[in-house]
Amino acid sequence: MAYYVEVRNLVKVFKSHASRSSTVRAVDGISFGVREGELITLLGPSGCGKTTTLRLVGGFEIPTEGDIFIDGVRVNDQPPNARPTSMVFQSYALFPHMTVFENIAYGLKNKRLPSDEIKTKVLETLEIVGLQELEKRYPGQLSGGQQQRVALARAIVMEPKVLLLDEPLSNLDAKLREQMRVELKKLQTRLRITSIYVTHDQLEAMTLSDRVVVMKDGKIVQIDSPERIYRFPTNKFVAGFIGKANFLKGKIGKVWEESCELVMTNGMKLEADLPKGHNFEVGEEVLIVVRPEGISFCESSQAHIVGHVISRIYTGGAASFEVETDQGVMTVEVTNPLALALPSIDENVGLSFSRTAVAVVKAE
Amino acid sequence: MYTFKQIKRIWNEPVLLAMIVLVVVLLIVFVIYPIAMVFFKSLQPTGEGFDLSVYKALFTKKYFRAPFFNSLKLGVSVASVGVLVGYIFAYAITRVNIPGKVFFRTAASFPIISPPFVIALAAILLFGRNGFITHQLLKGKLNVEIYGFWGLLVVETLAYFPTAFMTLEGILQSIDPALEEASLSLKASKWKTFWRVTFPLSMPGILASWLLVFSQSMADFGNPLILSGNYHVLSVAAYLEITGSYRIPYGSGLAILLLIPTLIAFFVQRYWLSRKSYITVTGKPSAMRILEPTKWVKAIFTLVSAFLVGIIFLFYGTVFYGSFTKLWGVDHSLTLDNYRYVFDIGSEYLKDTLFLATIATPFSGVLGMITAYLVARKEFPGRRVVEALSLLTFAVPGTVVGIGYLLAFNQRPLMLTGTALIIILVFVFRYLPVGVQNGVAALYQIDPAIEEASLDLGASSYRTFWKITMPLMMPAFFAALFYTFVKSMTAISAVIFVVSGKWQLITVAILGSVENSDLAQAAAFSYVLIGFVVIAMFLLRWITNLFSYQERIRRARA
Repeated sequence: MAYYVEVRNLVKVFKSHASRSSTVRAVDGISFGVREGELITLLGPSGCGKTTTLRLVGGFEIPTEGDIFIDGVRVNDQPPNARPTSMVFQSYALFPHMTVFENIAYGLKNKRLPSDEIKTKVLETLEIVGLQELEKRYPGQLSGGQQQRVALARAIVMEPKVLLLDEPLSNLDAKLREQMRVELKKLQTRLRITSIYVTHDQLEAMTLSDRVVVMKDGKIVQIDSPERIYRFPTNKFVAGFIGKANFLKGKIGKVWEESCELVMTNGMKLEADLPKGHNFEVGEEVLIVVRPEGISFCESSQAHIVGHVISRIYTGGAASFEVETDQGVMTVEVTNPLALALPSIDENVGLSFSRTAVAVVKAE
Repeated sequence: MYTFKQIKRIWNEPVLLAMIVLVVVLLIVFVIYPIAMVFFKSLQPTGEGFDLSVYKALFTKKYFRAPFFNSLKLGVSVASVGVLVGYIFAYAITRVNIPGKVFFRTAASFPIISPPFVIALAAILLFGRNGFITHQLLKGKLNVEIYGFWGLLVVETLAYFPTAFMTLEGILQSIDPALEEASLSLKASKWKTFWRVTFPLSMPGILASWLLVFSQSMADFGNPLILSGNYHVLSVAAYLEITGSYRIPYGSGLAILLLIPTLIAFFVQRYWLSRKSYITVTGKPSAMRILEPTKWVKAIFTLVSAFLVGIIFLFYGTVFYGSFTKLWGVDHSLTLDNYRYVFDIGSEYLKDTLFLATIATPFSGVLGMITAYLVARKEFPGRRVVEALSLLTFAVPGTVVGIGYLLAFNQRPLMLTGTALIIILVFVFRYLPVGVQNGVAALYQIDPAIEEASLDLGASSYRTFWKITMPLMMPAFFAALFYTFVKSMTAISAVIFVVSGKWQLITVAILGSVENSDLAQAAAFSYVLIGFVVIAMFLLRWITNLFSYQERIRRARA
């Protein structure tokens, strides 16, 4: 399938701030594609090159090497004002000297649309983002959440081929962020704008995207749907960065096309699912990834591993335990904790892993 | 490769390209070329061939050697005393919470906006041969020699301590009072806290303002011209060589000697010291919390500040009073004759000065904003060089600029001598750095994402500049306009070389009056000039309110 947006072997080298002669490869040869109407996230820790990638697509940086195509057209040499992209900035970048209406109308005026059409579009868009009646305000008179909506409205009113969002929710407080996350999801389901969304918040990435691009040190580590990224991380970094994970040493006992039998260092065996086309071999040393929410307490005789509880934190909807085992400390999360009889500190416990909570990555 | 891509990008934006080329060409022709001409002429003692005989003479003949060391001695003294005074004043206002802060701050800004030699004029009125204090009060019993080193030290200190004060006020404000509170809570006394915390943290500011005041004193022309007596300094010596003795190579050589230390001071201050600073001055000053000092400390600081401001008032008041007297030192009866003279015979001077300053101001302001925009916001090869060039005239003493323009533009194709244009050009490029600096500072406060958003929404670079950047830079722009206007109105050191019979300036008229011992007339001219500056200030405030977006938002809120 042809991609709507395609990035090929993109490299961006910056001069280092520390010394004149050295350079930093912020983006180090990445390639990915976005389908029409799809929202993908670039996810990674700070400094992984995700924002630089977005800015390269938007035309705010010139690529050192590589190509960017939008709808079949190579846009490398187009300045931002010629590209069919619109960006929602992390700082919102609202024009402080213009009202909400003027901010949103600005891009349409640049397109030289007739003023009655501009008015209709702006008012429509204000309604989409839920800001009716605020069009005469200045950005300085709006709350953070409202400013965020103006920034969004200003970008989508342009009906861009590609919407670029640079950590748009990072300046909001936790509660508002959650609310806006849900609203963005609804909006995206409704408008189906092809979008690239940059974030370091894995929850945002999981909630919003059709596919997630996980980046580290300027390179792409994995591209997959949120479910598959969680279920089948390709390495220890992805497993640890997305969701919580316990890592245990082990070996492959048997392999099949989409599953395998693992042998733990204590001799216990367990089965795990693998993605199609994996390249694990019998006898290979691996890391077993066990998600904390897929571990339950049980009798030692039925346990995959045994240990004793060293801490217990109750947070209302869940409880989290730390259990010391001969493989190190493991985290266990129990939902709906009041319904269960839970162990107390220093109690010896057995832990059993549910099959869907286990993944396998290469030992590093 | 990267540079190539930058060029390719700029090539796609013809307006941007044109602006870059325009700025670069203007800077080369009107900044670099005149200064190069001064250097060039100093190597050509006979008009042809190059040799170093001028410099050999400047360092061996006592007559030439004295001005260099006199200027250095004066510069070092004025800088040291000026910074000390400025620091005490800034400390009193930011850290001691003396009463009447606004009043003190306003009074300290008088010397900055007034014509450069009003203080020297006041000194003569008070302490000169017919001085009010020396002649009237003391009846010549105490022999005060105001002409020479000591007079210049007092006058230049008064004229330039406000520069140090303003820099140091900013620095002291940006030192978080929590640091001093931490020191006190760790059981250091207030005295110790000052020397171990506050003072070391303000050290970069102290050095920076020292260098600034040093440069100003070195470059000062107006005060030494009427007050130096037998104490020759470089700026006046160069002027006399060229206009008095017509020895252009020697005048040029003296100008180069003047240029070197001021350039060194400027670059040390800008590129070395600015990196040493512990505090980023760009940030918001932390909330003004003041540890209430003891009654005695407060009283002492208030008295010292009041004394200082008292002297300023004495000086400016004397000139004001003098402007209404018949003949200073002889007949002190009050009269309006001096003002009648200024508005009658002197009206040509007033008209010319106003006209030239009014033309130059918008050009300087717009060019400054464009340059600031290019330097702070655009990537192009040689950006740093353009920035350095645009700030260069800041560091170059007016005398050097004036000689440069005199030498550079007296032949075809740029035959400008005697025209109004050459005076306007001096104004435009001499005060350009302030516009550039204000503009760059304003731009650094504007999130670059705001301009990127505009580009992203389909506006060209050009449209973005006019629709987004320019409105946001308006406050800086108007501040630059004000500065250029005031400085053009009160300029003397550079323009004195390029004025002609056709185009005359008030400052030149004041100097003429002083030379003719018409001190009362000079005083009246000075106050008319101050009047223009004050009117400009109010006008500017009004226009700023009319155009500033902050003001519109404030009204929308109300």
